[in-house]
This record gives sequence, C-alpha cells and structure tokens, in this order.
Amino acid sequence: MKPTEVEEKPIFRWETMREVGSHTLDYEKPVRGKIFEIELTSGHKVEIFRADDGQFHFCHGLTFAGTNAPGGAVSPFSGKDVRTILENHYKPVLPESGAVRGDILVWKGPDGNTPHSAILTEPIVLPGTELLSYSSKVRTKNGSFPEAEMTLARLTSDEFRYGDTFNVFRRK
Amino acid sequence: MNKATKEARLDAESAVQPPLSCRLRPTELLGREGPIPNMGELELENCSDAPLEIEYTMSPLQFLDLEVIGPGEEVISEGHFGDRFSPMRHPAVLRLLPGEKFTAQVALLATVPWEKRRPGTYTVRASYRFQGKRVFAEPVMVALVDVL
Repeated sequence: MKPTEVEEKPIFRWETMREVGSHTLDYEKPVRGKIFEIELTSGHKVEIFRADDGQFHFCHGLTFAGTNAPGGAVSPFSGKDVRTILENHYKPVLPESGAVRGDILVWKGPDGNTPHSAILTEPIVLPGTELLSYSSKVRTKNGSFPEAEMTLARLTSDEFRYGDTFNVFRRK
Repeated sequence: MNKATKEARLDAESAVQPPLSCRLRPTELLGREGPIPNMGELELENCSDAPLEIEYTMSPLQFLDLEVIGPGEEVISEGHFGDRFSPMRHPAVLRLLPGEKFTAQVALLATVPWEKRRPGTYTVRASYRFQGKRVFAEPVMVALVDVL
C-alpha cells in the first residue's frame, strides 16, 4: 500500500478552487495548464497547478495528495505555497531517525524555495546516528519524470542531486 | 595591423564571444555517508561588461544539460537535465555582475539511467541554454569503477 493511500484528514477544500489563469511549465516539453487558488482546511490559501490533461503533476502534487483532486491532479507550487501547507498541516520530525513510513521529506533551496518533496516508504536509520540512511526509500515524482520508488541515494547524490538539505515532516 | 583592421577583428571576436561561460569540473563532495562519487561543479561566469540576469522558474540549473558518451563511444544520456525540478509560482532571477560566478554541484552521470551504467570511462559534456543559445563546457571524463 502506498503511503498516499493512508486515510488522512484532507489538506485542501476542493470546493473552493478558483481559476486564476493559464500557465505553462517550462520543461523541455512545455506543460500547459491553469493556476487555481484554493483554500486549505486550515483556512489559508495557496496556488496550485493543474495540467490541461488532468494527469501531469510534479513532486508536491504527489506528496500532498493533489493527485486525489476531483477533476484531475493538481500540484502546489514550490516555495511559499508548500511552506504554507507545511506550517499549517505538518510538524517537523526531529531527529529524523524518528521518521516512519508515510512521513514526508521536503528539500530546502535558496530564497525559501522547496525544490523537491517525496513520501518516505522505507525508513532506514544510519547506524550510530540520528540520520536517515541513503538506503532509505521514498515514493517520488521528480519534475516531469515518471513517479517511482527509489533510494535516497539516487535523490540526494546521483540522478536527482537534491542534496542533503531535506527535513522530515508528519501530518499534525 | 592597422587600427581599423584590429577594431574589426575585436568586434568580430566580441560578436561570437558569448557573455556567459560554462565550465564543468570534477569535485569531491562529502555526504552523510562519506564521499559521494562522480560529482562535478558547474560554474557559470559573466564574461561581459554588463550585469547578466538569468530568469528561472525552477532552478538556475533548469537550463543545464549533460550529454554523456559511454564506454562504447555512443551517447547514453537520456532526457533533459532541467526536467527534474519543480516549478515555483513566480520566476526568480539569478543576477551575475561582470566577472561574477555562479557554482552548483551536479552529479556528472545524472542523465545516464542506472540500467545503462557499467564500468568504464564516460565523457560528460555540459551545455547551458542562455539567451536562446547554448554555451558548452569543455568535456569531463568520469571513470566508473563500481556499478551499484
């Protein structure tokens, strides 16, 4: 069972989705769609992206269950929108060795950006430390690449090189 | 060489000299489990006399590509390097003053699928898309000993 299938209180109030305008994601093959504003169940508002095909999503769509949206998958944008979700619906897991399956990993970037996130599927603690081992596994959707399960080693230091700058979070 | 000829040649050189240079070199990087193999440092330098602005919606690295030639002398890299990032709502700007450099660590074999990797020597050529053109870095060689 994927962690996303675990029953959790919803984050988004789908009935509040309001179209803001057209938008194109600047991948090698551009992805056309629309931006919507949506209210969180906490009352805060964020902006999300929905591709015209209703299928495409990026990492934050997978991590925050935007793929369950009625009418097609949505993804909150990196940066302020993801931070708003984290601040109001998640708590940090410290030390990260306390992480369990279903917790999420969110990477930090410059200027408050959150360049990547993924769902922890198999936490393995690095012996003698309070850190997750690179052999831990996550469910991840890397940009426009297909969704996959992979080790932290691939995410942090090989194909995807998001680095070690992640924090672990759990739903409040 | 008379002054007119010299100036013409300088004009021609500046016309073909891109304002941004791209370099790639191997680097050593220590991760939480020790040295991380096959890492490189990308360097972008403003070679012009004016500030340069790179507007991006995901990462300054979204315009980078890494073409990799494998031990069998064929191109084995796949996909576009920049396609692995997630977008922000609004663009950000990387501003480089004249002579200023931006550096970032990249995995040299990032665009090589794991199933295509085998021991041997790889040639990695980085290119960076800027102002509608590609600037190329000198190729870097990577020796892959172990394949996990």
